[in-house]
Amino acid sequence: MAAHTLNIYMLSLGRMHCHIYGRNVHKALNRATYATALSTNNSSPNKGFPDRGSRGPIIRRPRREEGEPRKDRMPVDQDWTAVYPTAAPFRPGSVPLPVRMGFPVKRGVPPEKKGNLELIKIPNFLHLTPTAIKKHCEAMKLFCTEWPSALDTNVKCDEHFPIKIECKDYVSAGTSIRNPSARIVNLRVSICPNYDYAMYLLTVLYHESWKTEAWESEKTVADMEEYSWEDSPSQKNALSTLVRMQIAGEVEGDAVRDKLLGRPEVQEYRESVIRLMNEGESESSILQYREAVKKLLKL
Amino acid sequence: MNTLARVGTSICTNPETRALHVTASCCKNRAARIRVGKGDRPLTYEQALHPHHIGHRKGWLSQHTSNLMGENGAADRTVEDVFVRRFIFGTFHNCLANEIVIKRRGNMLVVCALMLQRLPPQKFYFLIGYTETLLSHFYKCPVKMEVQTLGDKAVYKYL
Repeated sequence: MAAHTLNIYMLSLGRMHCHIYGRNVHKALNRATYATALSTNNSSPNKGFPDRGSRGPIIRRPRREEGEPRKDRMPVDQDWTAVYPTAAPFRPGSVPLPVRMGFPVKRGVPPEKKGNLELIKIPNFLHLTPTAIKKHCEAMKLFCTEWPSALDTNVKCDEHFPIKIECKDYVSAGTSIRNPSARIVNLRVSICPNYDYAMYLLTVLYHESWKTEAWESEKTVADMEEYSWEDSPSQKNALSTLVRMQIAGEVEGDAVRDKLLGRPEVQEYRESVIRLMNEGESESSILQYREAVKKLLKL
Repeated sequence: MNTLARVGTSICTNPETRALHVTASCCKNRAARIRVGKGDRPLTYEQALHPHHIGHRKGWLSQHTSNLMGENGAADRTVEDVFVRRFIFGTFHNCLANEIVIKRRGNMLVVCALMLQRLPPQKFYFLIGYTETLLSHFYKCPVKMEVQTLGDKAVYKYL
């Protein structure tokens, strides 16, 4: 009688368990039914495993087989930049080379690449193949402009840009992205008598030139240092003359203006006017202006 | 008894006699060396080669620019390294196959570890994510883990 009640109790316990651990249903029920005949043996069916108390036996899911390493599935003409797109440590399953590294044991060979810590320690350049570098260059070309062709010798560079400023960027490894020694900027100028004072002046000027004062945004046409042809009375007059010349059959509008601006005669006229205004009147500049006007008005 | 006492005092008081004991075993280097044993103890490459082989037959486990000339922060990086090693040793208890390799690229910390397949993959993924997040928040820099798993340790020799 006592045994029976005990068994019912165990059965109910088993049922409780199967709400929590769905897989335990079978085992709990089995334990309850077998226990009626035998003496109440509460030990778990898994012999040798530690007693898990009221949780139930450990379910060992069958271990999944590991898949084939990547190197066995690599075609010969694959895209290597997909395997190593960025700097990464050596992965023996991804590199199809039979590399060995290390000091060999007596009458032996260097250890193989699987589990080889030496190959992981060293920096590798597997992400910098010639193909990868070409791809990088192609991507960067969008952001580059041509070097000005007139500055082909060092002498010419010095002439136009006598003051050279060197800013150094540092690549260093640490938790912060800033490097205090990158703040030092080098200024190079050819010799002048009072060197220290000149350096001081240049440093101050360099910093000052970067500052934009509030009143600078109120610059008007009269303040401009150079003459610019865009939006000037000269441009307006020229364009209106040309438009009137061509008025037969063509639609007025911005498209006409843009087309006119693109014509070589108009560009030449523009150059000559700018030259006259900026450089002042001289024999050659007036001659240039004359030629440009003749071409423009088709005389 | 008395004669001995007299001899003892004579050695101490007489300045020309000195008694110095030197034991050879104290002078031996014991750092990071596993001594030769029965021949049944498997050793990895890292354990088998002694510290004086670093630079000749062994590489460096930790790489950063602070030890170059004119660079700062060597002490900070070393302390970080020690902490990271202990942290990972404790988090992946009994799963590490070999020492950890720490690489620094810019301000990113890359921890390369070789593990044994002692835990199910889901637990590994959780622990890796946990380590990365915790260390990133702690050091305020991106921390990445590169883990490779092996069936068992790569044995170099038996000592």
